[in-house]
Parts: sequence; C-alpha cells; structure tokens
Amino acid sequence: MLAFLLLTGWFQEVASAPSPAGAAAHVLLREESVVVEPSGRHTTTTRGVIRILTSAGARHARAGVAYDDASGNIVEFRAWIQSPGGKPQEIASDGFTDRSLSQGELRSPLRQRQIEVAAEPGSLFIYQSTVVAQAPFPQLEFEFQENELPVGHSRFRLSAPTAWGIRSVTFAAEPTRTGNTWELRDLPARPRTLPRLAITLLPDNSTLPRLTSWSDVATWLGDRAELAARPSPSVSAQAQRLTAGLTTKRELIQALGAFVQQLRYIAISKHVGQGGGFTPAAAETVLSRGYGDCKDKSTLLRALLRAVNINSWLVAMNATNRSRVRPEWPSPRVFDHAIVAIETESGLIYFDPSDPYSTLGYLPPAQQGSPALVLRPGATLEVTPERPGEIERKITLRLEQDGRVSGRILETSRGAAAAENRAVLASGAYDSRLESLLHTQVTQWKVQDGFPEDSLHLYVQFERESKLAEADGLFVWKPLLQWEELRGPLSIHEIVEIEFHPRWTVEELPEPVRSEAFSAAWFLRDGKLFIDRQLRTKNGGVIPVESLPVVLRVLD
Amino acid sequence: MLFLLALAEVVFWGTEVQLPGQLTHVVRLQLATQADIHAYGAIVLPYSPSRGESILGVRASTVLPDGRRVPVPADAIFDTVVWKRGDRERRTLSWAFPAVEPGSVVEYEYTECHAGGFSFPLRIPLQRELPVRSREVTVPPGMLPHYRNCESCRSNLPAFREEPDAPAGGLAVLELTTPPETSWSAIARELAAQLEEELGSEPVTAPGDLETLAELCRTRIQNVLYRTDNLTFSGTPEPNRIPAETWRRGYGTPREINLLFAALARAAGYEVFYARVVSRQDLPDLSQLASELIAVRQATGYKFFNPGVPYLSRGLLDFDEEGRTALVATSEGPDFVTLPRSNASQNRTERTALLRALPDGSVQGTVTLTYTGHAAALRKRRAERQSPAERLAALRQEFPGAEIQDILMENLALPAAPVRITFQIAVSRYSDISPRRLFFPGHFFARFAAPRFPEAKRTQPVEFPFAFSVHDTVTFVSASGAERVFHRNLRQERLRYSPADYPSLRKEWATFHDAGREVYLVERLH
Repeated sequence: MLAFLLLTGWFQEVASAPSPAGAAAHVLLREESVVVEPSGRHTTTTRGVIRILTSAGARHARAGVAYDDASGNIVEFRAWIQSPGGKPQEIASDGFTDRSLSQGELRSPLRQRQIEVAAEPGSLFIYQSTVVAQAPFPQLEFEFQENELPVGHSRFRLSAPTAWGIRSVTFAAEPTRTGNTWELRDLPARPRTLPRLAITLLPDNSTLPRLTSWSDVATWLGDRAELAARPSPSVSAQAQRLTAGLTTKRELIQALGAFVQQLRYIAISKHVGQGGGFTPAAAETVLSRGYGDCKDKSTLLRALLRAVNINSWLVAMNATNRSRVRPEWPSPRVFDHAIVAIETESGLIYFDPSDPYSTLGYLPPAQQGSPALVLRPGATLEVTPERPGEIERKITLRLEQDGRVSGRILETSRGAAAAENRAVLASGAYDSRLESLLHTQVTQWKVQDGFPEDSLHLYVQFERESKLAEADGLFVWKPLLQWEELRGPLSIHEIVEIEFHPRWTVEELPEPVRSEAFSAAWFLRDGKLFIDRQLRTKNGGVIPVESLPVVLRVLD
Repeated sequence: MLFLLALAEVVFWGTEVQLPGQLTHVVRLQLATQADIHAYGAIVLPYSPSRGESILGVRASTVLPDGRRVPVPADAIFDTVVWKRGDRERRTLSWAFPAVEPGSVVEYEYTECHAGGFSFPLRIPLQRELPVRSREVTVPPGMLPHYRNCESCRSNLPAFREEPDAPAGGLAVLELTTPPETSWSAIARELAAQLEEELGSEPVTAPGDLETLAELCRTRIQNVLYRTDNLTFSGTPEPNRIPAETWRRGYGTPREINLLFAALARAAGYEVFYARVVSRQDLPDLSQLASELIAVRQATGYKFFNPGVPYLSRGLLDFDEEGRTALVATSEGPDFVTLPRSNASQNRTERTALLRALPDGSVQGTVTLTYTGHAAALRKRRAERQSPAERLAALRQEFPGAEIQDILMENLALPAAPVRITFQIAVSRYSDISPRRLFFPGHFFARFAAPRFPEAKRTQPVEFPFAFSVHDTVTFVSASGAERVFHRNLRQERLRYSPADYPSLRKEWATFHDAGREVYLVERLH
C-alpha cells in the first residue's frame, strides 16, 4: 500500500494527459534526475510513464537501465502496469532480466536490467529506477526522446555541488530551463533527430578533469595513453627485428603497421568507472599477449614507431556513428574507436591497426571524412582524409556461334576496394561470390596481393554454358557484372571487349551516358564491341537524388 | 599472405565421462595461420547454473612452436553472467590464449558438472567447427555406446559447419545409454493396454469412412494447442477423461483428438492401435519413442492417422513423421512399420501472375499463390504465429521492391483446404531497356528470390523435409495487345543429397531459378 501511495504522487501528474491520434503508444513522462557528488559519484533516478494505445504499441511497455557492475549498482528498479480502469500492479522482481551489454568483448562490466510486460491498449506502463555510478569525468547526457514515440513531458534535473560550474548544450531541441531543470513538452512522433541535452560540469577541485575544449579532452585522453606507449626493451627489440634491413620511413611504418594489424582484436574492459574504457594496456603487455582492442593495438603501434624514432599520436573517433561527435560539446563520451596518426614528411597519415585489411594511407570507408581528435596538446577537432578505393577492370569475352560465352577478367583494386576483397578472400567465400556475380561457372581464378603494399590483382577465367538471352530472334547482351562495390568513396573503370563469331551482328546499342561522376559508352571497333563504364563516388558513396536516373542507366 | 584461410585443427579432444554427472574435456588445438589465431585464439564456454551446470578445474595454456608454454593466468579467465531472470541464469567462462603465433598449439581442460546427474541418453559431441584428428571418449563400464552420423568416429572427423537445408541433428555424436530394462514387446503391450483404458467404455459414433472420421476430428473439434483462426479454443480447457467427453465438449488436445478418432474408428468396426515413431529400434526404451499416431489395421496393412495436427490435408501425416519407422502397439507385441511419404504432387505450390507490360517498363497485374499439402501446412503454421498485420507484412517481404495491395488470404485456418493468396502487384523498372525496345524477362517470381543454393561447396547433405513441386505461370499482355506466357516447373521428389551429389542439385535449382531470366516479351518503343 505504501508503495502504491509513493508511486501515485509522481505519476498522477501526467496520467490524465491526452494522447495524440495515430500513435501506437505515448510517453506521458520521461524524467531523469541526477545528483552529482564532489567525488564524481552520481545518483540517477529515472521515471517514466507510457500509455499503450494500440496492440502494435504493446511492445513499448518496457524499460531498461544500463549500469556498470564494477563501479556502480542499481539501487532500485521497479515497474507497474495499470490496466484500463484498474489500479497499478507492481511487476514482480523475477520478471526483470539482467544481461551483459558486451558487444564482442571477452569481458565487459557494462550491463542492462530490463523489464518488458504484456500490456493491452489503454494500459499505463510505469517505471522508476535509481542507479549509483562513478564517472571518470563530470559530463552527462540526456535524450528528451528515446525513440519514435511522441512524448508528453520530458524533464532532466541536475543537482551538483554549488561551487561547480555548469555548461549545457542542446541538440535538436530548445528546452525550457528553470535553474538546473530542462524541460520539453508535446514532442511529436518520429523526430528526424532525437532531441538531446549534453552537460559539462566544471569542478572546483582537481579530483576530476575540467573538459571545456577539445584540447582539454585530448590532454585528458592523451595523458591516460602516454605512459602505455613507451617502448619497453622487448617492444624496441621487436621493432628492430621487424624493420631490419628496411630503409625508408614508409617501409618502416608499413612493416610495423602490418605486424600490429595481424594481432588479434580482443577487448577486455575493466575499471570503466575509473576511465578504464579510455586507458590502453601497456604496449609491452599487448605485445606479450598478442592481442588487444583498438586502443591497445594503436598504443602498441605507437610504441613500435617510437622505437624507430617515428612520432605518432593516438586518434579518437566514432567509427559507427560519426554524427555523435559535435564540435560544440567536447567530450570523450562521443568516441568509440582509436586509430593512429603518424608523422611523415608529407603530413599526418591516419592508420587503423584494428583493420587487418587496409593498407597504409587508406582508412576503412566508415572512418573516412570523419571528425577525429588527435591526442596531442592544443588539439582541435579535425576531419580524416577521404581517399576513394579504386577498381580497374578489363573483361575480355568471346561470343561463340551457338551463343555460349567464355571470357576472362583482369582486375586491380586499391585502397578500400582491395581491403574489401581481402575480407571476402579471408572468409573463404570468394569463389561463391564470383559465381554468383557472374551467373556462371568459374574455371580458374588467381589472386596476387601486394599487402602491405597497396593493390590486389585478380584473374578470373570462366565459361558460360547457358546461351545468350533470346527475344524475338534477337539476342540480348546485358552487362556481365553487377556493380556491388558501391560502398564508400570509390572509383571504378571497367572496359569490356567482346569478340563475336562472324554469324553475329549488332542490332542496336544503348545511347552513351555521361555526367560529372558517371559515364558509359558502347561502341564497335575492329569488329569488336567495347563497353566502357566509369563511376566515381564521393562523400561516403552518397549519390545525389538528381543523379539517380543516370546512375541507374550506367548500372543497368 | 595476410588472408590465408583457416587451417586450424583439433589435434586431440578427449572426454572422460564420470557418473553421475561429470564430463572432463582435454582439448589441443593446432593454430597454423594468422586466420586461425584470429578465429580460435579465444574460448567461450557457456553454462547454466540454473540447470545445475557448473564448470570446474579450468586450465589453459599456449604451447609455442619452440615448445615454450605460456599459461593463461587465473585472473584472465572471466566468469560472466550473460543473462539472468529470476532463478534462471546463463553464464560463460571465457579467456584468450596469450602469445599465440602460427604453429602454436593451444591447450585447455575443464570439467563440466551436472548436478543431479546426467539424463539419458547422454549425447557427447564428437565433431566441432574444426576438423578433429583424434577423438577419445572414456566411458564408465556398463554404459551402452552408440555412434551417430560418423563413419570414422575416433579419428579424422571433418569440421562441422551449420548449413541451410542440412538434416536436423547431423552432428556426429556418441550416444550413451544405460542398458534397457524392458523390451519392445512389453512396451507395445503397455501401450495397447493404455489405449484400451483411455478409450473408455462409452461409445462414440459418427458416419463415414476413415478419412471422413479423421476430417471430422480435425475440423469439428477445437484444438487447444494450435491457434488456427477458426479452431482456437478460447476458454480454459478441462482435461477430457475419455473420447466421449472430447466429442461432447468439442475441444481437445492433439492427443485427445487422436483418441477420439481411434474411438470413432473402433465404433465403425476397425481395429485401432497406438503407433509411435521410433528413433532407435535397437534400444527398447520409452525415451526412443516420439510422436504418437493412430494406426488402423486394414486387409493390406496399417493405415496411419494424426488428426491432432490441424493443418494436415487428407491422407497426410506430419512431415517429420513421414518415412520414419513406427512401432504399432498391439496386445500381441510390436509391429515395426515404415510410415508412408507424400509425393511432390500432394505438396504443390502454384503461382500465377497475369501482368500488363506497360510502356514505361513497369508491370502491373494480379498474382495468385496456391499451396496444397505440406506446402500449405507450412504457411498455416507460420500464419498461426502472426497477427493479420504481420501476415500482410511478411507477404510484402516475399516480394521486395514490388507494391502490393488488395491482399486476400483464404483458407489459412481451414485444415484440409489449399491456401490461396491473391493480390494486386506493381513492379516499376521491371523491363530491360534499349533505345528502341523494352525487354520483359519471363522469370517474374525468381526476380524476388535469391538462388536457393548459392554456396559452391557443401560439407553436409541437403535434406528436404518432404517432396514438393512448384509451378509458375506468368502471362504478360503488352500495351499493343501481344501476349506471351512463360512456364517454369520444379519437381523435387528426391529428399536427400550427399555433399558429392550437391553440384547436380545446385545446378538443377540454378536452372529452375534462371528459367525465363533470358527469355523476353519484347515491345518496340516509338
């Protein structure tokens, strides 16, 4: 009974609010209150009320709380369901699920407790949780809206030591601020961007860092990484072994980079509350274990480079959601990946030693043109370079009297295109992929890879048993290869040369197509048919809508 | 080369079985390439404390090519609660081997404990994702070993790969059982006596032949286990003590419905028996018996019925019963009989499309899908788990890139009737286009589906659950009034293909998939 009385006090203020038409469920209240202590320990109380409006909305009767089981704990997590016309019924504790949030890590202290209940339309789902955690730096984030559901009232309350400064930034939102409470009301369904609040606290002591600029963030992250990157005798010895006989700086970097690339990617997260997620293992340890995560491998590479007198820095970035990194909110929280920036005569070279297939000078497509923070004093947010992958392909075909086709493909790929080919080769599925692309039987194929030098050469020989397409006495020739390579910035140039048996004549050819980025031409020369197609994508492979008709013609 | 394929193998895998419930494993893995190290350089052992499982005595180390041994320290072995709800809990023990380089051997041993002892039959896997050079299982005296799915079960076992359309339970295992304490004769007599008791003394009668009686049970009685739209029982079911009660109440479990059929058949003058699918005929034990059918003795032998499954068409058994050995339980003893199989004509998928080929290269028209036999039963079972909205969404997913409307789904809940689905479809950019012509390819239905067997190589047999046939008819009518009809047929009678036979199967299916892809209705552009 006491629980019910305590509950009704806060949820009744929103329980009678009207819901917008057309929604499957309506978030009546979404509230988070955070109390920050001088030590950086903070207590977060979350409350929510969701009205289920349709049977399709029943799946929204759920809530989850993330926590770190090493440096934090869930003090309370309760939930209630109130059927239409009924009273709130508390959900028993054995209805809650607790699961590891590990995403491929061998060990992670991050966990989530969650509750999901069956709810009929008209029901209210109510939840409340309190979590205590230790943060390594005093920054907070709050999403006023969590998903596509409309929200009636969303509120964030902060209580911090009075002497501390507070800086707030909002994204896709203009909340009302009263003291240290930020509120938004009547948020429509399906926002293009989720409205978000980001807060930086400025402590009056030196226990916790003051992160007011990207330079502060780079210093804080860099300090955690610097000690680990010092080359120990065994690291130096390894560097000498790997570079023996090499002379140019590029050769040294390539050799050391390739060595770290081949080490296993294994993540073991510890001490997250004390900043463990941002602190690499010592290079010596990574070398002796033979594995590490992105920051571990990057740190080992830095130590190896330092052992041969090459400067480099750790680089923080977001490899899965670059839009998280916003210049107006300097924070370590927005990063999920670490790579290395290496000093050369021609400037910095960005290199990802966690990607086993990319060669020096190329980043994986998801990391190109992406905001990145080089962890050195005075750093500002920079943008990684874009460098399109390249494919040059020559296809030679012979069309026999009976319509059968035989031929060969010579292809050279570079950069991200070569890296993608290496990944398919490593999976052992290259022959299946070729046959599926060619719709035919591959009689022979060979690969010559120049790794760690760039460029991968492919030779394929094939025969097609089925005859050409027949249509009213005509035979129809369609491009042999579907272009599936359109991932990331890419430049493709393909020439097809078709030799005919004398019984064949060309009845009609498509019109040439040309635009700034795409072109395709079909022409006859010396009794042979040539098809010349080119495509150059930029900006992460995005094709502008206005160019789509031309692109479709080229690809078809 | 960096991307050398994995060549790892298990050089030794030993398992010692200790009663009442411990398995001690010793594993040695040879890692030949960098790819091996990436793929197999870490171990994750799942276990469930809530099911009484625990893992003890873990020891692991890397043996370098020069013979040096690098142990995994105890604090680098992580025990993680992966999932927990109430008393139920799933955990893992995990670790990464240190300092591994190509040519290393990684070794580990651990003891898997099952509180409360093993339940039998105990299945010990002999195969894993890597080839196993030497496999040793030490069995306590008195246990009966039985090897499944392997020819050479102690050495040179090939790697096991999950592959689509592979037979269920295809992993090589050693099955351990305790010596049987009974005989098939005793079991058959017990089942026969059980049937007599369960049929009760109150007679139930209905007119019609055996098939009609089975249909009556399937359609008149609401099935409390299945959610078939018009057969779902909505109240709280009480157990039916005798078939007459099932008949009166109009609902029942699949078993009660089968018993009702047995009672009706007996009242019509037939001899009826329980029939159970048998897993291992060499092991007389109740654990070897699976699904329960009713057998009816006829002059030519037995006829089998399973009206407790609501989706089966007249004359069909469930597909996982077809072709299996069944024990017919007579009071004189067991009769072992092979259950009949359905043929491809009974399990038919018929797809027709009547399409207008439009001058912009798109097509619009009507599609009708008709399913019979097990093909229909599969759709009915799938529909059972879906809301009406989910059924429509699932159908739309079967035709990606097409616009679908006016969907009508018929007979999804009628047991014996074919499933019939009709809808209007529009596909833009369907044709190939040259400057003067439009080419409408005839492979309309294949356009929405990937090839069934894309992989060039296969390690496991392919097994189809039942014989079936597919018949496609696509009619294009052009703007100028020209009409062209394309047919495509597949008849799959054979159910099992060894890896050696896989290329021929793949070729047959590729031929079917591509049929019509390069045959066109041609329209001249003006």
